[in-house]
Amino acid sequence: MFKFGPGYRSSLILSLCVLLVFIALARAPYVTPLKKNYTPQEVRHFLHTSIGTGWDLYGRERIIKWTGDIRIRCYGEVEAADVKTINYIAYQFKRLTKRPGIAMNDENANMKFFFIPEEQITFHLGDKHEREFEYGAICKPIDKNGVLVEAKIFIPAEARGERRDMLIKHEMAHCLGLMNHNKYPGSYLYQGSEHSQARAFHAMDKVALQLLYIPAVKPNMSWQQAEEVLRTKGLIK
Amino acid sequence: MHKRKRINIWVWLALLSMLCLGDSSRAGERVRELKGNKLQDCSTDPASFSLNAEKRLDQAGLASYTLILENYVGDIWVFVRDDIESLVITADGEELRFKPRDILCYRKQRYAKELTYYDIGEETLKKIAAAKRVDIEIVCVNFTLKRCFNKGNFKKLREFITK
Repeated sequence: MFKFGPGYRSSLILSLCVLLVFIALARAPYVTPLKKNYTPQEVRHFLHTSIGTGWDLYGRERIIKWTGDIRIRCYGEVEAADVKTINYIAYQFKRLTKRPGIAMNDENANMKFFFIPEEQITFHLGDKHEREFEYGAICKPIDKNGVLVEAKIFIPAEARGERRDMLIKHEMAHCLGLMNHNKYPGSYLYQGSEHSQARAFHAMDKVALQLLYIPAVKPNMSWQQAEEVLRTKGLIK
Repeated sequence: MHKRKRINIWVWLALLSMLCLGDSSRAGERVRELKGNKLQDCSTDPASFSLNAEKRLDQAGLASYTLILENYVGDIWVFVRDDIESLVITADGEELRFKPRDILCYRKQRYAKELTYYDIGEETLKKIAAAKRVDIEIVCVNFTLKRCFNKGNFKKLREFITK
């Protein structure tokens, strides 16, 4: 009768280990590693999109970012395609940075999507200061330390198809910390991007998100402080 | 083949009955219901609410009461919070707080109906019905709305309790 030898057993264990490692790697999203260094143009784009805009309700010209995990919840007339789009952006975000985590989670949600009739958006925004953002609007209660603690995204329920899709992508990109618009027509953050056909984050926005979520770049940093940190880390060419 | 078909039919029937019977109310026979108890606006917001109630008896004959907050068709979509005590009833100065057991939403275009279910004890319900002044706060995701009981609300609730 054939008997398995000790060599066979060890090779079986080894191949099982390899298989487990392979499964673990396949399940974990691949996170794009940081480049060795970035061009001054890339760094300027990062600072421009992340710092100081008319969108900052507190009028500060500082870094604003999430430090805890992002938990997303949808309210109102949500369609399956909306959830798919949100999950897609979350997936792209996960591929750019390990932290913070991002996922759909009804419990203690801190990024809330409201799919409501356009005429109701102003009423839901409530605060006078936030009424400037009536259309596909967002508001971002930010704590005094520059940490994003909650984001609300209002999408008009009447919006359909590509426009709805782009509104979700555009507003969600803002809420991830890229507060400013940019000049790249292929970007989610291009001004008037609800007419854009962008399918993914623009290369420059990817750089901005990666740099924004480097642990050394702290919330509430000024333009100069953030630039200095990147220079100290040798990340600027 | 026929047997499998029959099994499939039973499975579908079971699923259908689960859908039909699976309303958010507690299991048990509903013995009393308060409907159309529209709350008076104390502010100028465009939402309108009813605070309805129902009494159910379980198999052992024990009664349970539920307050049902109903947000109306065609109004502002309110999104009552389900993670905190989102119904605050102040009866003669005493604050009573309730956390939803369940929320049901029906929305399509301009049509919207939101039902929020709160468990309440008989004594607490009697306390509210016996009060002289009742103010209600409804905590929603983006705002808090205020309502108060008028004569009609008191009358309906007292009738519901004493019937």
